[in-house]
Amino acid sequence: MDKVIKTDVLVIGGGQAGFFAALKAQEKGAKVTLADKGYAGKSGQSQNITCMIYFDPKKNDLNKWLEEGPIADEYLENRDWVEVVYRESKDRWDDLAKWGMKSWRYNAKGDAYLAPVNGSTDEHCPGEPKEDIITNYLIDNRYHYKLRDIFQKAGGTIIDRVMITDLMKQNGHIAGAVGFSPDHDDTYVFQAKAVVLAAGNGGMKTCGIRTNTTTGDAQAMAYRIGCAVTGKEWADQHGSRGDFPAYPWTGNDRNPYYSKYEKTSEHLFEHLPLYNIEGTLINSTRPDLSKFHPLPFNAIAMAYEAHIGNAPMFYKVDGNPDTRPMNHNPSDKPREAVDEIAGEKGMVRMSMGRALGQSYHLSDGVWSDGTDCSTPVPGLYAAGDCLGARSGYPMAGFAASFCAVSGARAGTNAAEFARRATDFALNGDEADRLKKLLWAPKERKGGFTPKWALQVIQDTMTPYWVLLYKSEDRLQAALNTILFLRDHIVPKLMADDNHDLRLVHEVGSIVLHMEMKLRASMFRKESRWYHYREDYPLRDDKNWLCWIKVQDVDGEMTFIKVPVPEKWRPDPTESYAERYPCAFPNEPNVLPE
Amino acid sequence: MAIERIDRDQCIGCGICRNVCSCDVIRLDENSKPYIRYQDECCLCLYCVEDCPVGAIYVSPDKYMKQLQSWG
Repeated sequence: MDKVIKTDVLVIGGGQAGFFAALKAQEKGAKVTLADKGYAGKSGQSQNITCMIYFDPKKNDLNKWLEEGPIADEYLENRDWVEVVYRESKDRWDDLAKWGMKSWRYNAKGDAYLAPVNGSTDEHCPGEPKEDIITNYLIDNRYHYKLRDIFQKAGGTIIDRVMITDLMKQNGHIAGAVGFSPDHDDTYVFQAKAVVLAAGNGGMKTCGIRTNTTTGDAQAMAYRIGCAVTGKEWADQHGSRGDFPAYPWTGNDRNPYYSKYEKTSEHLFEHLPLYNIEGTLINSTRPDLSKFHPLPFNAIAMAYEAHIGNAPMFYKVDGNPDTRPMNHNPSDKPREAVDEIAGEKGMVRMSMGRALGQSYHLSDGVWSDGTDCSTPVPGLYAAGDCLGARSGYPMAGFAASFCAVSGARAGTNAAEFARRATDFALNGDEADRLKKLLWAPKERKGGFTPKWALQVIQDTMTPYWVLLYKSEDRLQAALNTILFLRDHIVPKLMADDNHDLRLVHEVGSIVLHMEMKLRASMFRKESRWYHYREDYPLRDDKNWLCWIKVQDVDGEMTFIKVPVPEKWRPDPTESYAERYPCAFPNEPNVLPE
Repeated sequence: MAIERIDRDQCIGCGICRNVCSCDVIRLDENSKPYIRYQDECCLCLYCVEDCPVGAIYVSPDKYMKQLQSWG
């Protein structure tokens, strides 16, 4: 049986971006339906939001902040988006204040308590006396529950536990989507005048990270109906504590919810000096990192250390407050406290590879030409991690704000699009075609299990030499396996129940996503930021100050270079070392042009 | 490994753990009481532990993934 849901705006994904989109579309008078494959308000990466930063144009110097960004992700930041986030993040913060969000405060004894956010700039986390520092709040990550109530009381519809598998286009514009529930066999058919994709970026369910829901489904759906995606060549990686390798980052180490897990959380240790097996410090060999996000360079350095036989790596717990090279947050726990939680002094072994398969926050996603979150499909918008903002570092830390700002923009524009759209009757043939694809894995009598396919994907993609320490031959080797999965295994995946059906569709999205990652990595024949090629170890400004757009052209996955505007490029009179102060492994400090 | 136990005596049957489980590991039985249905898919996100109002859920920091060596 079909459950047909007719709405003005369909929002897919119930995290930070999805709720902002839904609430803003609703404010504009649209009838809004929000669908989530899990439980809206407790979904995706938004549950990992602990800090939310906003930029206050009244207090912070916009030009100064804009100037500091571009070098950090090596001239590929989309500065238009950075400026939009700087200009609008305070307004979105004020929205949250209006909706009753709370944030953590500490009393004089150091005990944590939750207090309402009132938007005044004199509230801040302890230890932030610096001039012109952007306000950084430790927020209550349960606040999305509250947004559910606000949205529903204003007439919004939430559909939990429904996975959407495909979008529908009709007469050249967006028309709706189809999906299913893990709990029963009805098909959900959504008819919508506008759709907002807010279902995150793509990963492959690596252990040790709490994002096993972000499997790139929405990006894959958008790609299938003609959108481009971007940023697939960038990596992401975190470590975890070696004795609990699967245990996840439990959020900010100041968040009292997680205090009992701190000992196992990598985040606690991320800020400690990191040594290789030879006892050489490997994460403080860079110049002043205060302006840079050190994670990409540290991750690549760690992969290199492993490659030359210096794994495993160790965090040193020695109580020395002077050795905190990765501390980029002035309000993190004092070093002595970290050591106390770690328990014993000495070396804590780390394991690597968590989060591999994703791209760095906001660097990847559905391509949008401007900053209105639109796509080439009229009526289809993308927001949050699902939107390729083409920016990494300047918005790291601003990720939660970016999701709020882009979500609000996407929701507002989707409502406006829906208001102007004419009524239409849904083409039943297209819905029937997609429904058949949706249920096909349950009809198959023979084939393969999605769990096994996922394991092959992880085994293929997780080794350090595939996505962190890249070369043409190794990328090609991994791609051969992924293409075999695409052509011979994915079409034969079978599902005994609807839980497995979700896994089957997720594996389909992951395989597409991995093909894009490998091909984009092969396409970018240089090294830059979070993309290191052993066979092309230097930045190539002449050919590669470009973003890469991936698009289906006549059934072929096609890669298109989009040059970074001239005004955002580095000063060509500067030396290589001046343009690129963060060094890759083995890179000499000064290089010839 | 991963999610290990939901204490049925302590459980008040509110269903929150089923809702917040990001990987559909927890399901409700015919009495609306939760049980661990797909244990090896637990990603140790701890959402169930965080949000259980009576502290009835235990998640271990250890996770050993079953190797599915034979295909199929």
